[in-house]
Amino acid sequence: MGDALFYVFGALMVLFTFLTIRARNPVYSAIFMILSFASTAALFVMLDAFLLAAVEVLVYAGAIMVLFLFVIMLINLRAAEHDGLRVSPLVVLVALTFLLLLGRGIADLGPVPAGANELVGTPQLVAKTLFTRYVVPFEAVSILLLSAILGTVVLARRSGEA
Amino acid sequence: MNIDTSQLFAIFGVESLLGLLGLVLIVTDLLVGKGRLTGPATAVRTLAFGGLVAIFAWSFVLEPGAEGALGTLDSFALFFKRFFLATAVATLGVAAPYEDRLSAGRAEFPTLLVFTTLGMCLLSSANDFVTLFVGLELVTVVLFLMAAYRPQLPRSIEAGIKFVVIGALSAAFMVYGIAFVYGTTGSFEFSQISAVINAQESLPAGLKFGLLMVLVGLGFKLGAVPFHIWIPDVYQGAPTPTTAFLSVGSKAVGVVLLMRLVYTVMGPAAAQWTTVLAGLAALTLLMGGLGAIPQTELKRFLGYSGISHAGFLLVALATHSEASAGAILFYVVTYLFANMAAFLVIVIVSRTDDDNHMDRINGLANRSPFLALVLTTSMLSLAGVPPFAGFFAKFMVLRAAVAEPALVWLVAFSLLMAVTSLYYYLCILKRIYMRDAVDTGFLEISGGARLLLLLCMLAVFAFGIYQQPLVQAAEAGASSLFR
Repeated sequence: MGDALFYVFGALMVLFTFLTIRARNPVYSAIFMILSFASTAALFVMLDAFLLAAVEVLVYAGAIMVLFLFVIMLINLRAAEHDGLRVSPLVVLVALTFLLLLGRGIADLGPVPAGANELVGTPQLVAKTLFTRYVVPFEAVSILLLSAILGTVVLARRSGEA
Repeated sequence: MNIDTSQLFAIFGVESLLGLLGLVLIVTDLLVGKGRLTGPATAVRTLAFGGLVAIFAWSFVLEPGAEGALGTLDSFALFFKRFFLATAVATLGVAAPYEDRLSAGRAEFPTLLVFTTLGMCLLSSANDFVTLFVGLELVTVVLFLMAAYRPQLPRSIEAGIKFVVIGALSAAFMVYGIAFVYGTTGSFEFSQISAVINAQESLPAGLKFGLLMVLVGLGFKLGAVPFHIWIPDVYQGAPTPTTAFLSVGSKAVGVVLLMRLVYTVMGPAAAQWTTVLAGLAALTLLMGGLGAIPQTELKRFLGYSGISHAGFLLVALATHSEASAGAILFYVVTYLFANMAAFLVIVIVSRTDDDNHMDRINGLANRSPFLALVLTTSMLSLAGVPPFAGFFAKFMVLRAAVAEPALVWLVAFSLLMAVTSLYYYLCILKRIYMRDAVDTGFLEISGGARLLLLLCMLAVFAFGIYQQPLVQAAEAGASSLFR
């Protein structure tokens, strides 16, 4: 059952990702991408990583893609301006090489260590790790966001205003 | 796991103070002279300058040796924290005469500078890949903003967008590689990864792939060929103070992380990478050396000159000995002084507009003998002419490299490229002394700028003639990597 579901969602993910780059209308692309993220979230659920699944849906499918859609609609991209997928032999070559490297790398990872499933998933564990072992990068992220806001305000302001 | 705050402050004291300084600057901007352009800018700049100098001075009180699970403050980290703080102070000096040209965001520039310096200091203390990645993003995201800082100029926007695209690409390589390193070793921590790497005879392909991707990500920061394509356009388009900061700071970030990665994480296993690094070094030297010749834009020219310096740093990295690590530390310091002086001269000679064509420095010797002298010193040091500091830096790198029989060809090639590069640095000198000035306006040099230029010039002289103190500091910094 679990295996069958994995293949179903895996296939859906690949399909939707392909449709994302194949679609001529950018809005369709964005919506296919949301569906692809949803399939990824389903795969996370099957790995018992419930928090990751929720974050995937909330942050990627929710926040980020809505932002994408807003931008696409605001700048009013027309379907005709986008000719869809054009495949040159070089692109295929690069992609295949990368796939080969990736496959070789994954084959090298070996079996999943026992007990790996318990390591992820619970919000408590994530929170605890975030605020003890990784408290310094966590704080650095807050500085990063602050300076990004500051810089964006500067860039968005019209000249002459203080 | 419990967090010991006093230990945390012992390691990340500089970063904490920089964070505090940044927040104070934001509040100052809000409180002082609300709505006016110059009042808050002056206050913020003065405060930022004072704060950075104070933290820089304080960093000499710090003792290296604090070590914890979250980070490390070995003498290597401390050396680079001081280096980054000095870079930030010098950048503020370069930014001061430039400020009139900013129509918005004068007060925010020093604040962003403080935050990106924080990221750089954090990186020098990182001992796991999570801190490394977050710190790197902090540095690059702020640098994107600083590159696109004059949105009314198409060139600045172009620089910003190119930088964002390349930065995103390099971050993707990086994080992809980190995922593979984590997958094969089961850890983000440098010490544990290093133990896994050196426990086995040959590295598994997944780990090699991961490390290679991380190397590619860092290659972008360093400006090594073939990851250098962004450099000329971004250097040219970004505001000059940003370019100055980028050329020294971003390169040093690449250097810090590559050194940690090659010397500490890979350790003895890095011997397998000598060929890769040596190849990259040769390509980088070639590109930097030949690319600079046809340039007619000062900042583009310095961009190519920076690429060829990245080549010399890679020669030292490929060597993998304690002497070469010390040489790298010495090299970046001499590069800091020579480069900052050059950028400050560029800001002054192109004072009123943003034309940085090389014509600007024609006949500089008649217009301002002082600026001509500074620029001459800095060019000769960058070219590696004795008795300036740049010569000794190159000498240290090559002396360390020649001890390795496999790298003799690279030393010969570096020498050849150093001689080639002499040509275009001398072309600059020809413009300064032999050509007639294109514009003859009065060059106004403020007291602060004069002081900074004098300081840089003296440093380039002093470290060329009496190297001992800096060599000792560099060797002490480098030795902590090999423990």
